[in-house]
Amino acid sequence: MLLLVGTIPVEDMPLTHGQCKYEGDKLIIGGYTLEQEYVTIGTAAMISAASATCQALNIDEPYALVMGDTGMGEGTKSIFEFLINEVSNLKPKVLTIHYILPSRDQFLKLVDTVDNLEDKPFFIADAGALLNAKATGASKKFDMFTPDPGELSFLADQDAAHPAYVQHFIFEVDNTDVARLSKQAYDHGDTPRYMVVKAAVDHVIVDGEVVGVVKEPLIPALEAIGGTGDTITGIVSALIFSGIEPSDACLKAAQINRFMGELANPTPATGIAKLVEHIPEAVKKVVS
Amino acid sequence: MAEQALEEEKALIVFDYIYHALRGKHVLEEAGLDIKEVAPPPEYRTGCDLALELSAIEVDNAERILDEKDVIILDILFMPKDTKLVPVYLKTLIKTTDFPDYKMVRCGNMKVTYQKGTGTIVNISGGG
Repeated sequence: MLLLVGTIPVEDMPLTHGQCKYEGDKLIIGGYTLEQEYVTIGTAAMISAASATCQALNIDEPYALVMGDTGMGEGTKSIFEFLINEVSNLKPKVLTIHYILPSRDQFLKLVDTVDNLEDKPFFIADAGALLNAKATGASKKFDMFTPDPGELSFLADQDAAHPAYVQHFIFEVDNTDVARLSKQAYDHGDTPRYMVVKAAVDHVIVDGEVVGVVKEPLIPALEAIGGTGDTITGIVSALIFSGIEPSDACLKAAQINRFMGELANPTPATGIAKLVEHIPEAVKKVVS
Repeated sequence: MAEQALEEEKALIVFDYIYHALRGKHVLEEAGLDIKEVAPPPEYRTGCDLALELSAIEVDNAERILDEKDVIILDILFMPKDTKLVPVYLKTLIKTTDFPDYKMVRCGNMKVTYQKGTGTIVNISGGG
């Protein structure tokens, strides 16, 4: 099972879990259907991208665990409670945690629960989960992070306990910095073995070292479009679930994300929803 | 004469984190102090990459204002007169990219894109 976990910014959305299916204008999760802009917002963008990738690869659709949370923390709390109790029954092969609010005790309890599973899943964190993992010193319990340069700056700052309070973030993180910051973060134990860093040039990192970069196709308008970091997390999760070796999956995910943009022929005003539609075709260009 | 010499002395307020540096700039400017955002020279580099330069005679006043406004400083450095500091004006940290019908404004990794003419925000991105 590919298990995708995170909150959705919908106030009254109950704790929802089940097989999911991306259908363009809607995302079905168990018995719940997200529509319109909610299909590609935050965690839902990640799930939609993973579902579209699974469809293209003709493998099982992801299973998602989500709940509404508009910043009060109730969704995050309920998701943790459920997952701590049920992850051993769900038996995920790949587990990706995405947008959640800061939480120390419950988060560490979940991480320890996953770490003690007999069949430990490939454990991925992005967004709130990535920040939580670093802030609680639990990064090494994960297998992969998918940070953007801002999140990487936080990982590399050993003393920072909050992403808004990082040193050396004021200047643009250039390609040299991605390599340097990745090594720095890895050396003080704040990254897992694998990372894919989405930037102007995407970097694949293994054990703190750059093992690959993806520069093409270069679509300038993509930089303006919010959500392309969420899609790369969903795509790489699905590729690893399909059995592709993790560092190769990172390279392929970065390529697919860029082809997705190229196929959509976007302007800076294009929404991420219009890009996700092109993931199946992009997957077929990259994965033979 | 002594006062004129003292006025030429510069001091540098350095901060642990950029949040405090930006707030420090705001409250000191609001109080009417003449300050410049600079990158500390390598031999003084500590904390975050943005420091505030001001006349040495304004240091006590600035320290009091920052303390009153709960802006946490890392240190105050008194600089030799010939020290060359690199200006880091905020306008250089905020970068814009022109597209035919849109403009993207970027500060760090936060990007806001708006339609020219209407000013309507069409995209917000927080990533790479």
